[in-house]
Amino acid sequence: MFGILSRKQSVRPVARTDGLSITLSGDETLVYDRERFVIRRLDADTARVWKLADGTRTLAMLADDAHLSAKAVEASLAKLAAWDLALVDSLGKSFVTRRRLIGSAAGAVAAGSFIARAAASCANAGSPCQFQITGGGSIATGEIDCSYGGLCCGTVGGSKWVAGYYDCGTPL
Amino acid sequence: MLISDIDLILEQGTGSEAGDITLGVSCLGSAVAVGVPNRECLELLVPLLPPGWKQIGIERTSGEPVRWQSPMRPETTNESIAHYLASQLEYAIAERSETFVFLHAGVVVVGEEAIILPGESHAGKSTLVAALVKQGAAYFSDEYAVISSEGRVFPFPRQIAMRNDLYYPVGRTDLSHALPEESIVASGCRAAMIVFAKYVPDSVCQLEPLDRTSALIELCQNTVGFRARPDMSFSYLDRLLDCPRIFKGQRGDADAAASRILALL
Repeated sequence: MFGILSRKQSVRPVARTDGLSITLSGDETLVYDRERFVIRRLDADTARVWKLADGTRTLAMLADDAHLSAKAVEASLAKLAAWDLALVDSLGKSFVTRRRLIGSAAGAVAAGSFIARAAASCANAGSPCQFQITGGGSIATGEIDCSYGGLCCGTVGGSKWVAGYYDCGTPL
Repeated sequence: MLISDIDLILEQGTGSEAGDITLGVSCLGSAVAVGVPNRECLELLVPLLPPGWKQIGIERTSGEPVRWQSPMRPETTNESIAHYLASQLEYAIAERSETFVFLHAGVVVVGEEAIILPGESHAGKSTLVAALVKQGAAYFSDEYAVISSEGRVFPFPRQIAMRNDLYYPVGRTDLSHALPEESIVASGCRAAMIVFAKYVPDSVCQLEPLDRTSALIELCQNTVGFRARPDMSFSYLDRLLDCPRIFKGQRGDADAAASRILALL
């Protein structure tokens, strides 16, 4: 039902609220991250999940209360996690963390010499970059956070973690 | 500026730090100190100060004083230092205002409503503003749109500087004759249109409607001091966006773009 989160049915996500400035714009929500200096643009579904993720609701409850499919909730949570609108479970541990997303890419890079491509959809502020790393028999794909510098999708180089910049938020 | 006016400024109280003459300036919700290296430079700076500025005691200013830092060029003159300080002072006023939100934007007025042209420095705002004024619009600003809590736009007039280099104007045009009537200057006006027009040499002017949320993000990017006051900026800019027409696109020739923009009103 919940894909990558299916093993975590007991997870009760908590949205980060500190260090943020928030404004509504139509049915969207703009969130300015005062620590990372980026504006995130939340669509109506993601904003609804974010507001409901108060640590009391499981993923299934979030889907019910937000009137969204499980897939939509999962997508929203993954996006929120990637943007460091931090979601933590009731034990205070990250359940979908930026580190995990970055880590999957970093592992691919570390596995060999890679031709790396950051296929970016940078034109859309607030959207996460889609990236793909190929080579050495490994492929890592996914969405990556934009908090490390504010430059739009550069190339991916390999060291400890993916050293490219993938910022598709609006740096300020 | 008469010498006697400078004497009056000096009599009213300036400070002296690091060999500077330090002047306290209050303007549009900001109180900023500016350090001037010598009297001649002060004489050249005072006419460049923003309209409505008032001298205040240095102890009432906040933040670091605006100062002449280091020689920008071997041939630096008092005139170029004065222009540099005026520009930096304007920015400090914009960044520190507790009353208004300052947008990097050119502004003209048609009738009793404003057309706002957001854009970074050196993005061609002054040229487009001058072209609009040539075609009948009244002049409000070529650098900052000053936004109140109600979303009204206030002027930030100055001598328009057409530049080809940072801080070194190649010519200044006084458009004070093109200001709208005093009542509009005093009370500000609503925005009728916001146009994000990127200058692309030799391009045809192409402007498309822009949705409100995208416009808000663009405005935030052009807001001086957004990082320091995000909540205030969101609030003021959201009210500014009550205007009915928002466009984004590119433009080449300023006269052609001005015609196109006026036709969209």
